[in-house]
Amino acid sequence: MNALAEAIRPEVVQGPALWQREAEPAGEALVSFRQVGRQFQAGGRSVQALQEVSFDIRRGEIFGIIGRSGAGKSTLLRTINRLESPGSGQVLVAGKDLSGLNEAQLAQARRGIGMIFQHFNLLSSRTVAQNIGLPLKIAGLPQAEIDARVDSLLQLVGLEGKRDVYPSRLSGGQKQRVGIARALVHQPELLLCDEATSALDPETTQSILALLRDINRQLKVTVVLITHEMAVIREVCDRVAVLEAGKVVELGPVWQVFGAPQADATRALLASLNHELPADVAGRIVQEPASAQSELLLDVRLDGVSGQDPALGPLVAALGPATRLLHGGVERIQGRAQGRLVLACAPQSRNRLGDLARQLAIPAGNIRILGYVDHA
Amino acid sequence: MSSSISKPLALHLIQGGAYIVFALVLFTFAVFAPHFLSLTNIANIFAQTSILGILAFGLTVVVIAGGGNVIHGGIDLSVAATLGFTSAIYSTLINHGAGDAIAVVSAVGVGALAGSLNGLTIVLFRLPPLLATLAVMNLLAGLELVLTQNTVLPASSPLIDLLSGSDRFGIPLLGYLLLLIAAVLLLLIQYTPFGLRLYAIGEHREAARAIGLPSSRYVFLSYVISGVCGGLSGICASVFFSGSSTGSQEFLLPVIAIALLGVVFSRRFVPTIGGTLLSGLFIGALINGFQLLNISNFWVNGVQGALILAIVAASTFLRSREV
Repeated sequence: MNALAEAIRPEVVQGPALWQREAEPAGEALVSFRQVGRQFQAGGRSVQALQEVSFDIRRGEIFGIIGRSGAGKSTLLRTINRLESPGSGQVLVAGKDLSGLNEAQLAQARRGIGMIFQHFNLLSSRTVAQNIGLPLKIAGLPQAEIDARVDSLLQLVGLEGKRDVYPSRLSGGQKQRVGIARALVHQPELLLCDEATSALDPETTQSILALLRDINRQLKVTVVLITHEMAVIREVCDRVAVLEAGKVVELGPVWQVFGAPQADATRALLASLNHELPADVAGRIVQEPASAQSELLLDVRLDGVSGQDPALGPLVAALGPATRLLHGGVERIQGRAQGRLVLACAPQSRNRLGDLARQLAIPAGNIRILGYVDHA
Repeated sequence: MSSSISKPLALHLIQGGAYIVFALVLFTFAVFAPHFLSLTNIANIFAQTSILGILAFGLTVVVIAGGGNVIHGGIDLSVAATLGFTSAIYSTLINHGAGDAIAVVSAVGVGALAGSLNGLTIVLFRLPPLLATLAVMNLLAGLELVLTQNTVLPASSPLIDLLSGSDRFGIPLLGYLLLLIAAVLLLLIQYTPFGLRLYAIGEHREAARAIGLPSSRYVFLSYVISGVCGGLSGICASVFFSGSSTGSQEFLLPVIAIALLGVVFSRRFVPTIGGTLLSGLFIGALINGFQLLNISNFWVNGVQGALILAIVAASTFLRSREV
């Protein structure tokens, strides 16, 4: 067992700690949505928050649910731990339907599902240690056991020196770390994140996402997060479901959804991450070559399907040595190179585009002629 | 980041300012009000505060469990009406020859029933607490009028005789009762898992539900406790006034002022039983000082209203600094 998992497993914990779980096969479902529907009454009319949602969240993955405001993300997330009850369909957690449980059983089941919130939801009148230990105190565990588990979690989230500090003295990122520690205190196998980084600045967001990734990998905790920011999904998730008006419009590995978005909603959400053409380039594009100096403008989209990095040699070989990179960028999502290159090349390269697609191992449809520009 | 740094500063400024104002008020009374610092008068403040204080303890429990947002959070507008009705029940039973034991159990039981009615309408029918407790307030006030025919019901019993007395230092036994109930509730709310659960539910209900707390049950129980406190203060009122008296609704404003002002007397600006006890004694001293200076009761109401406004504004300001 790794050092991190060892460090946060106090000696006093009885029985097999959840942190010791071996990684299950990737295909095993921990959460299953089966035709889940949910209606709300608002202003005298019925609003369909969720419509026949069906998919699985696999054990051990980080699963993202993204959608615009009002798409039904929060409602869907809350059906997992029954903070919301589905109007129709079933939500299974580890094969069990929580709808049949009485209050005491539901309380017990919720202890196996950690949850963190956008606004941290810490008790202002309690210290960091008391906030983290709160669920254990409420469950009636002995103080020695609470202290041991709290100390190990403080170490895990990097707040060892903040044990007796009150939340009002913490930064947003530190508050969220306390929230994460509290969510892990019952050693859950599932962690729900409700817009957990929305109230944080970009730098702090990165550190919180890195912590979630560590928790997922080291402790084998399945993480489900909802967000409206594609950058968060790209950074940390294995798979993603895109919600629009209560329906799942797209579902798949993050690299695939980013590389070849199928739904309009996905494309709209990705728009903020796309490398838009700079205005000075876009303003110079014409549909026919204006002079002998005119160059062909190509938009090459790398979707990551091949898993290969784009080689520059074949690119130059196919388009000629005068090829220039005007705009674009490549980034790695789940180890796959994805991005967009806007290239200016000789007009006669128009006949070599099939060759270029083959060389780059991308579909021919991923190469688009934008027009012509004069060599400035 | 700046907001998280400015919250402690804002809290210190608000609390520091409040303490200075309180000290100035008490100093003014000590200088200008005759006998304000005499043992007899301090004993009288304790006796007067017992009725308001016990009522405010109940309201404090409701605010803890329901959260500090006065509109959507915990509030019980029926506390004063519960006092009036239970005082009438206690006095009526005494006048009909029932013993103190039956009268006390009945008064406290009816208080608990009133609290249960509040709790059920809020938890079961999802009515906003402001609306639900307003309805129950009017119901109880109506029942009190039916029972008393809007007249004073004088009463006398061994318990009334006992509690209206004082110890050998001149401190009224009602004052001891106030401290006893404060001690019991202090232990229950501040030092047990039950109290911790109330705080958890009140501050962040959804987070509390997510860790497995049945929030509805605890919100319901908070209103039952408030009702029981209403019953106990009804008995205290019967002792203080030697029977039931009309006009119990006049207690509502000072009780709300005490419960809300209590947060200023707590270290972290949250409602606590200890804070409510201190603010109860302050409001009691304020009312007493105004009486000694022959200042109209209307001014007392004005000051209490201003205090409520100031505390709600300060709480809202601090909440906006929370994230």
